[in-house]
Amino acid sequence: MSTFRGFVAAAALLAAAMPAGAAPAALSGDEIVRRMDANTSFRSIEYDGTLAIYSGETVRTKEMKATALGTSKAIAEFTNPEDKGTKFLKLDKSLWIYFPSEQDTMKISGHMLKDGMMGSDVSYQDALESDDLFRKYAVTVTGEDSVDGRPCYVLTMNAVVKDVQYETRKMWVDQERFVALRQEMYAKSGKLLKVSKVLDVQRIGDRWFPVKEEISDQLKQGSRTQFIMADVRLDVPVSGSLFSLRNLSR
Amino acid sequence: MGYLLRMAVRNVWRNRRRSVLAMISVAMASLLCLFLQGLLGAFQASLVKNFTKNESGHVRITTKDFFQRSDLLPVDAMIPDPQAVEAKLRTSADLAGKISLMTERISFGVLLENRGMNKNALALAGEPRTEESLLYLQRSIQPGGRYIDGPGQTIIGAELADDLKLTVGDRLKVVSQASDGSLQLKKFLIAGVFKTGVSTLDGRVFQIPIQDAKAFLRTGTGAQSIIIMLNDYHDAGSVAARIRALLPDAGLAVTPWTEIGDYGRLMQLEEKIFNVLFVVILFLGAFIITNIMTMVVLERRREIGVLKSMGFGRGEVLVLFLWEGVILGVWGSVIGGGLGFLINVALHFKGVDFTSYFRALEFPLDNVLYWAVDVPVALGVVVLGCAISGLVSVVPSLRAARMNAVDAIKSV
Amino acid sequence: MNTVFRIALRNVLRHRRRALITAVVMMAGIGFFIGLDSLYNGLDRLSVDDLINFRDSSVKIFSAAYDADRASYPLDKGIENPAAVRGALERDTRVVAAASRTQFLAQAGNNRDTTWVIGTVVDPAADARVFELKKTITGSYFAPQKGSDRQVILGKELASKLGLAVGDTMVLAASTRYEAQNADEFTIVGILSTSDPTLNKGTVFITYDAANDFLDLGGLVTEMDVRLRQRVNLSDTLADSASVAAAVKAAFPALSPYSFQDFNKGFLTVLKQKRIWGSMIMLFILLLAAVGIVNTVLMSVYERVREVGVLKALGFRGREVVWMFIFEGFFVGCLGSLLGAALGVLIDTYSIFAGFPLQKFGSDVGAGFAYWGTLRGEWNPGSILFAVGFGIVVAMIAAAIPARTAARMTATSALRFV
Repeated sequence: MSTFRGFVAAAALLAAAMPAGAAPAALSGDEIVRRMDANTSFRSIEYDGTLAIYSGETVRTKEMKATALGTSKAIAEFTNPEDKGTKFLKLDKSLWIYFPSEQDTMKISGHMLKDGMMGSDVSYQDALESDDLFRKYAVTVTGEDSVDGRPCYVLTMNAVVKDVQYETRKMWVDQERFVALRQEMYAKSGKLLKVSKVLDVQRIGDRWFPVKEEISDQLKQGSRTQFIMADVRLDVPVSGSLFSLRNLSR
Repeated sequence: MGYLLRMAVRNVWRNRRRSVLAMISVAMASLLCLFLQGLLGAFQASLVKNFTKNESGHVRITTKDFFQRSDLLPVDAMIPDPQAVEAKLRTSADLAGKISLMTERISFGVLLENRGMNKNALALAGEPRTEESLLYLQRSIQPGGRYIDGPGQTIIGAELADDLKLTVGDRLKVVSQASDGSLQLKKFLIAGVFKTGVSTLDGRVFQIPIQDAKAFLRTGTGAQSIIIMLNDYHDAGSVAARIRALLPDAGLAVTPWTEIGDYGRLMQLEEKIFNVLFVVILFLGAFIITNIMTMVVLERRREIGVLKSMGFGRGEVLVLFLWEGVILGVWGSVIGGGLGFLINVALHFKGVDFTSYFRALEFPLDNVLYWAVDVPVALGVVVLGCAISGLVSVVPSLRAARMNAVDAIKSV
Repeated sequence: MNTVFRIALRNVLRHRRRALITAVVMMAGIGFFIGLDSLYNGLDRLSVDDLINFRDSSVKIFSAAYDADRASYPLDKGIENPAAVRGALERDTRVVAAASRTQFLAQAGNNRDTTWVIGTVVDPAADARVFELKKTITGSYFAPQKGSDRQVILGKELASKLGLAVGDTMVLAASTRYEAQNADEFTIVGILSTSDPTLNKGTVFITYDAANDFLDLGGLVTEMDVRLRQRVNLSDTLADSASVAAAVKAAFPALSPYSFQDFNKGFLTVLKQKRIWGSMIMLFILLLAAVGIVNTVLMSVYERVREVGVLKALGFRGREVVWMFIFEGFFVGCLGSLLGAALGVLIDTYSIFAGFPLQKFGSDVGAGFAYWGTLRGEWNPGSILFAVGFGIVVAMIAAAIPARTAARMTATSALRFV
């Protein structure tokens, strides 16, 4: 459920052909993005997810089984005891929550989506925002750095339109594995708003897939959210009928 | 001296009409002063009640954690066993007779939805019967609806109903985060729609039974706050202190209304202004008694002349008039003050219900006035009445006493 | 009747001392009634003035589209042509000034904690003509500065909650007009302390210069606030507010103007209740005054029963005698009531033009509570006339009652009356 995933998925379209004979070390921003995308884009995914919400010293943990088809359909069912049976359904830009005890759904729409989900630092909007990001940013490679001992390309992305969440983003992309190990989201004023770190990357087939991510709000001390994916299965056959309101109540 | 007193008594009863008139007037002035004091107090108490009944009561008990984070209306900082706390307070000898009402409350933010439209709202959960005398929302219910009379029911604000296109008989879908962090949904039957004319209530608030809130929020028996209303709001500080002494360990915050929000200080300012108003009224009453006594004395200038010609010294004349003034004053003040005090006591326990006068006002206010009873003030009024009567009987007689007998007899 | 009238007049002049005593008690009672009645109404005016001067102004104008969605503080659907609206308002003789404002939702923080606040964007010069917040500020008001300065003024409780003081920086995070997240550091130039808890606890003020950059506002104006000329009576203030709001609605149908009473219904309802109870108190005060009047008049009439005997012996009929006393009551009543009215008007004039400053009351009520305001009175010609009429009528009735008893006596018993 990370912001960069949707971004890179659509960035595939941006991948301009590299001019022949380009020196391998001097990769352009677009090429880096293309390779990141090759790692993280999928037709479908299934996983067991854990969301850990830290607020100072307290932590709330939510566990779920999730399935997604492309970037526009996703369904998750909570398995932690307090929320057991509660389901989230995302279809394009709409979100529904299903409650087993009442066998009823609530639709979340409009600006409600900006609120943090269950008190976490990930807003509904962050989770839903996906495809058009590439259109909204211009990507340039601005340097090299290392994260956790791994050499990375540093990409700087500046918004080219007004209606984006974050005016500027910076990404540290693992040079070997082409996974964004660190992301920083900046406001228009240059103030750092959120930091996202990838803490664990798994080899699945012939890709490197980030399975543990932590996002922290820079304006509030002690406030961070971790998302961990286990038992990740990519491109498994998934039926489209799974993602319907009717299916929620089954 | 004794003979002067006996003379005074005889004089008083000899001029029955004049004396009775003076006594009745002094009595009426004292009575009205006390009555007004009671009314001002009643008025003030009603204002305080109306300002505090929705949020804090006169004294509010919450956990310390809730008190710190009260802006966020957290549902995970509950008093675990409020019934036990209430029982302890009810059986305490210290608090006997001070508490008029105790009840539990939970307020929490929710998300509502109907036909794809969302709205943030505030749920007020309390015991429905008790809330009839606190929130008073039953007074503002529109025709076609009714108050809550069972579990699973709610009354919602008119603007809220409008925004979500809901009406009586529909179900209100409510989602909130429970005390264990889980998301919960519950549907309530809309029993009635209330219209107070105030947007913050009509557009944002709905009332539910507290039992439903506890189940919904998974708090067990826990509640956010215990609201306590007192018989005399002035006791809030001392009652809060006593409660704190009774519940030393539990991590509870016991707060009098004066320390919650800013309105406490505004009320106290108003009270000071009202006290000034009462002092002005007392002055008026004193002035009137002065007038009465002056009239009495001035009419009797000729008597003073006669007494002097009979051989009474100046001092004796003055003392005689002083006694007569005091006797009239004492009878008048004591009777008037006593009656005024009794009326205050009677109206204190019975109260006067002005609801019918305020029927046109939709806002849910308490319109019953309970007259204030204040023994020191009552005694003060009586003493003041006597003192003034005595004093004022002497001063005008001074001049007459200094005249020679013949001139005094000739004066009209 | 004519003779009786003239005799009554001469009698009053003859018994000057008695007349004066009665008149004095009437003066005190009626004068204080009028003064207190005026001040009592003035008490409520303090709260209304606070709301007008600090938070709501006399007329608040939104665009109709914005008004429908007001609760979510959107940054669109603003007032289309604020300059035109302001121009129209300032041409109205009842209007003193108008100012544009924009509201937005934000989070204020100190880099450790954040809390939700309502941000208000103001044009400092215009705003200072409409609101009186300047008076309540420790530190300074917005200083005129070119460019996208980052000054902020916040409420006292908010500042203490975040542990910030004048000169410190506060982080403000909000969504821009295009829904981008922005956060920036603002310098606290002033801290305000009003009698309004919502202002003290949950509001921050920034300038349009800052907001146009910080929120990408593009000059968006979500509301306009209006200051109207000062009126002595609350009812006039409210009437002005209602009619100016109506005028705006007529001239600009796409706008949603709110009069003070529309915007503050709950508060005014409580006020109404207080006024009704206030009238009760005033009635009893008048009753108290009546006690004094009745007593003095009764006593003076009873003293003169022997005169009645003389009059009857001279051939006056009982009815004429009663009327004589009623006329005397009338004269004394007029004297007393007019003196009372004069005293009352004097008290009113002082309280309306000078007023009673409340600062010294506020200073010992709670720590650091700044209570602003001068208690002023209101003109209430209705009360004045009522009191005057009341006084005269009571004096006449008080004279009539013993006069009838006396007049029924035979001349000889009256002469022997003690």
